[in-house]
Amino acid sequence: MARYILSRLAQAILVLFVVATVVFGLSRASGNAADLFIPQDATDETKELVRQNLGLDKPLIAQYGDYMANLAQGDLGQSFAYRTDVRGLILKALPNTIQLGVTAFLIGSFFGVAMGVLSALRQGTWIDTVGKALALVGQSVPQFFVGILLVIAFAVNIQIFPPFGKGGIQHLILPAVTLAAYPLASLTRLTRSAVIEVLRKDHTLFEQAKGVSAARLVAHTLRNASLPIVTLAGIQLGGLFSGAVIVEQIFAWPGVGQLVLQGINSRDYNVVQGVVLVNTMIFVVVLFLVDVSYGLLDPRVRRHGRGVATGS
Amino acid sequence: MSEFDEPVIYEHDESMPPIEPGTFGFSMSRRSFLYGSASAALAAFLAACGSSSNATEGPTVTDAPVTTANAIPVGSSDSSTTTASATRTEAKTETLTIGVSSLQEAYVDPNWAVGGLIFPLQWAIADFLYFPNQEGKFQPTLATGYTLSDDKLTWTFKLRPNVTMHDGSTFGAKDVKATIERIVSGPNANDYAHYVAIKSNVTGANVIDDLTVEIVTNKPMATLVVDMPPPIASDYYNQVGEVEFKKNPRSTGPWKFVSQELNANVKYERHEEFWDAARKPNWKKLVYAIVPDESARVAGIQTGTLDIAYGLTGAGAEGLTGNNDIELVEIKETGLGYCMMLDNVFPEETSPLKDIRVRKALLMAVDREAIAKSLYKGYATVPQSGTPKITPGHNPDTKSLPFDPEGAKALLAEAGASDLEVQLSSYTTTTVPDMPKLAETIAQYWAQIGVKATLNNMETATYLPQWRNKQLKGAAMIAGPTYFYVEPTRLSVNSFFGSKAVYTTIVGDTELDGIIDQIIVETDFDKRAALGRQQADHIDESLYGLPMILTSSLIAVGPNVESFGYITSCPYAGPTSWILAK
Repeated sequence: MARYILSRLAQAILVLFVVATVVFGLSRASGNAADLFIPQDATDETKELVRQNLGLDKPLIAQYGDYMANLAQGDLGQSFAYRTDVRGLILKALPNTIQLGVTAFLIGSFFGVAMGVLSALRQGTWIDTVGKALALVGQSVPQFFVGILLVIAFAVNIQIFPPFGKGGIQHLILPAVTLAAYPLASLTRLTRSAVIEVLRKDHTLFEQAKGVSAARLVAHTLRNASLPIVTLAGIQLGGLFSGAVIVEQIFAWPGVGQLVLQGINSRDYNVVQGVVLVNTMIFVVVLFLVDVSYGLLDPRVRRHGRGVATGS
Repeated sequence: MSEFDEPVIYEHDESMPPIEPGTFGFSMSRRSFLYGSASAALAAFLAACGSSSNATEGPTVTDAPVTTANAIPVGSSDSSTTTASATRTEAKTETLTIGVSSLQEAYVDPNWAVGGLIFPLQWAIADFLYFPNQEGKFQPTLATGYTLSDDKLTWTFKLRPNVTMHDGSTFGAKDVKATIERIVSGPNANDYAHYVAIKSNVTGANVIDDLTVEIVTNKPMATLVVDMPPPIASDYYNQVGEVEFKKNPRSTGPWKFVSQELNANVKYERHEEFWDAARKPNWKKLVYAIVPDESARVAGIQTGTLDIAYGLTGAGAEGLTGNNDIELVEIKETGLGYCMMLDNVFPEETSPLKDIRVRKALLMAVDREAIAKSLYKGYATVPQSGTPKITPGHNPDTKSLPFDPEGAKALLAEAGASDLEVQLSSYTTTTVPDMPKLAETIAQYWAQIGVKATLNNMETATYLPQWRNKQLKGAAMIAGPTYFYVEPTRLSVNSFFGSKAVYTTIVGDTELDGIIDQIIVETDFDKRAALGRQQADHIDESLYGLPMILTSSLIAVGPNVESFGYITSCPYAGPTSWILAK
């Protein structure tokens, strides 16, 4: 198991290094950020001073070297627009995004798995039809549409939730539900098909023939169907942190998504790089935890990690 | 980004071939379509459920005159103007929340937050030596007057007595001097590159006495009064230092800074000792809420979460249908959309766009009236001139070139450019909404006179640096915020014809350069206006930029607002001087 974890850790570090390099290259390829901050009638001397201040007068390779050296020390650089450290900006915005993402994940995974199991157990009934329809709609309707619809319904017409902004729990509901719509739908579909597959296995049929209780049967079935569900849930969780840009925009939620949009608009390289790196790190950590959870859920993975043949 | 929900139907000359739907006549974005569908579906659903959404009348659109004090009494169908009273009754409403699309997350520091969408931050916390009145004319505020030395290099400002700053200190010459030094020669002066004119021309500030300050320039600088930065509370600045001051500044404005939450809001409380009773807010707290999405701002004003919502489009305003408590204020002529003939900035190259007949033809080919009515749903007008009304020197007698496609074809033939091919670049900006659609429409009109335009729509952060670095050729769209042109040199230098050489046109037009050279050193207002007229006429005759559209800004005002006043042609939130709460 330890070797398995170490191997995954090494892969994660490699991914971060590659992402950092790619993001650095892409952001520089779009032009010189200093041009955006310098008034067009500024003198050459002023322009040069601004470039020096931003560190954009150095050769690209030197900028890359500085960037990687700082990164190794956890320094994400200075924001060009805010003239403050990027890490501080991200740390201010990240809790808001985590709050939104975790809430959306809990809503999506709880209702998604529950709906999927119900659909599978009641295959062919109206419950299954409703579950499949919701999954289809949730996966195919874009987030901004869901968001606007919810705002019109629950903020403008019924007026039980505020239309935007961050505040109490009531401010969290609409953006979280909007963000949860897609993972809820995809988890419903996957859980349904995974549970149906397990229900058709011999060991499940044997349990049913033995007359085990419905609750016990569901527990056994879910355990056996859990690997793909956990994988998808992990990917969704990572995606919720990095993919909340649109929802944060619609609901004026002051998270990392809004920060990166501001960074892109003002070509604030360091903010964009910092956010992409942090999101990558979150994604990598989540997927790492998913990998580790395989070992906990499936003994065959543990045995494989110790070099023991699984026999499968 | 602006969206339009309904099919856009363009009016055009009957003699012209019809415009095919699907090319540009029926443009509707996916998002607009879905939004419209959602609204329709939901409306139907709620109607079926017996929802209270029963009103059918739209909000009152106030067609605000721009030549008198712009104060709109809200909640009344009477659109006559009244001026905010000098004696203000305290409102019952304690807090007004104003929704804006962005504050660009600038520091609230009044020397830092300069320009465009971040003007509200500066205007809330700071006051100026001179500031525009509602007609856009600069009036003495923190200054009571000035004198200028015979060599036109030393300006002596007399300052207003008994002005209390946010830190409790008394405003005086030392604060003006500290502000100038902060920007021009202080240890962090490089951070203030945006004060180009001040940094290029001002060499120092001297305190003559507590209420007299002298500003010295290295050459005559007629725009000094307009360009002077708002004074900061120097005692407090010296005490806390640059870094802390940026985060928690003190100045002289009507609002004291309370807090700033990144990408969420900025909060202020009223400066009880604000010196000007006629501009002192009649409510206690001000919140600028950053709401990037227009539909969310519309929802905000509908639900009362916002009291004022800035930056609406015609389509967004339609979302307010049925709510009679909300007033829609139209501020006219806030954005001037130009189509620049950029080939003129490359003197060594030949181009058909250097022929004035071709430029005239390209303007005459476009039915701007139809564009104003359809693309902008009536919230736009055809510019009569390349110089907006707010600019000193604007010539009201200038006649716009008419829509005349046959005349345009003849001009092109005369110039030998009947088979003209041109690149038309565009970008997205809030100053003139729907710029890419405008460019697409222009290209379609040009196609009808045989001009083939290749559209080149770019992301804003890429477009503007390319524009400034002369990397664009052919024709290119640019939006001018008309409020910015209260100073005539800004029109020809900063936005359209300017380059790295301060106060020199990039088109190499020596006559225009000569006019600008005179304006920049002329301090007499009437003479400046006369020179501004020469500049305006020259710009209209040369047509380096084709004035395509003058757009309005739409602002929704909720029931907690008694009257809403603004500066002519100013689309930005604030100043709050002419807003009264109920």
